[in-house]
Amino acid sequence: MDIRKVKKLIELLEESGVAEIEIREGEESVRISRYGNGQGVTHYVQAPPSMPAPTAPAPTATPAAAPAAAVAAGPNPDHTVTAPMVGTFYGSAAPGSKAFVELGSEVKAGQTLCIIEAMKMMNQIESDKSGRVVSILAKNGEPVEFGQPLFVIE
Amino acid sequence: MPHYRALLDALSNALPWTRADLSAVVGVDETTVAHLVADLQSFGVSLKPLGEDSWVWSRPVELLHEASIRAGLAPTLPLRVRRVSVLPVTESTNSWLLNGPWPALQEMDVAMAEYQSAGRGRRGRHWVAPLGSSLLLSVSTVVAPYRRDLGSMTLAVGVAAWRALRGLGCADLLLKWPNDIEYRGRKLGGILCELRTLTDGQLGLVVGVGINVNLGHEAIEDSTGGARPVTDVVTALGNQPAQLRARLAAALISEINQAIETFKAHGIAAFLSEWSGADALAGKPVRVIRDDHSSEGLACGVDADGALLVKIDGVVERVAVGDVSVRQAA
Repeated sequence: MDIRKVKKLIELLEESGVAEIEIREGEESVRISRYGNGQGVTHYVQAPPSMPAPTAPAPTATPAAAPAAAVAAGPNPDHTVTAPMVGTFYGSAAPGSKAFVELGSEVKAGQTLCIIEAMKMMNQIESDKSGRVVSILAKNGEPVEFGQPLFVIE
Repeated sequence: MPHYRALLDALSNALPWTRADLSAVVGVDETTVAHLVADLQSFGVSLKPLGEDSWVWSRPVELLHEASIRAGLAPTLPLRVRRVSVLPVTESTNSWLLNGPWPALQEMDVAMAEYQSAGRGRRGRHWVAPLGSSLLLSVSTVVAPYRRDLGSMTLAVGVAAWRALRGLGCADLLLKWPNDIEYRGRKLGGILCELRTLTDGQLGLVVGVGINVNLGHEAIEDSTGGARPVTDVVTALGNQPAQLRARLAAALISEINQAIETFKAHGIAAFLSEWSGADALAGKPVRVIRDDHSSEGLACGVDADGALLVKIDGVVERVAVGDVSVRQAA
């Protein structure tokens, strides 16, 4: 399948809010589905098993969400806050000022946890759950990836 | 707050006003009028006292009005412009929009301020200008959180502002990575974008643009020789056309509206050739400062993600965060 077509499908999915699209074209099929937590999109491209012809390598975009999934797998699942864009992690509002939260801090939903910046795009990350900060997974001033877990809230 | 608006509208006819007349027009007692006038003076409004109980605004600035700005918008825009709010005074137009309520997908809200009491810059810094001398404009919209490269939206908005200013006749404008607009080596404006995570996996985006429109010769001269010399649109144009702020506001809203939709579809790639054509830093020796860390090298454009490329000791490094200044020859 034309890679541009796949790209277009991904864009369509992203714009639509639909969770999954599957398209069949001749012997090829492509299924594109969204992650349940809304933090990333995973694209699967596969040929039907009966198809003998060689195919192009699957362009599989994999957001780095695996650690988050592992953390969330317990019987009493903790809540993981992930990075919504690539950038630099800041634990405080300005250099030298007090950190927004520390290990063990009790936070309320809507409370600021950190700032992620890239090219003066300031992204203030707020907790979407109330609870206790049991893990801070990024260091001040360090780069973070899209989907990277930042905090675990118990 | 509405009192400031009524007071400014009254005084902007450039005629003398008594405390009693202002009290009647604004609908507050005379003591309050005196307080409000003192406030306006502290915001940089040049109200001259005429005796004990009168003032005149002999050279009123152009005040913004929603209707004239809406009338100047491009006829077709991808995002519906839902609210256009002109605030006489606010802490920061970015903060005002970040508090919501957020527009629906395919809509945008606009907020402008005549005076910003706590304008925000990167990492907690401030931006202050006398009332009516700048255009302080923010837009908010909602995006789905799928673009890992959202940070480079700042550069896209820079290109949008550059187009808007050029459309009004400003030449010789350059963009200084990542968020400054310059005219002949002086700062004409700046951009600050902010994001909030909303429910349903959506992101709220606020794009803030501050442009110096008419700072006055004195303020411009005062900044000469300082760390950041400034300039304004009137200087860049060589004259002051009627309704300059309103026209610039309409052009900025239209360009940013289109740029947001282009960015959603194509990312920063759609803006890179224009950005590179206006890159103020390309080929210049620069110093990159991030918090307490500083390094020096030669700026050599931006990469496909919009990060600044700096050649340091023969090695090209990507800079995605930090403040960059042109290093003066020793």
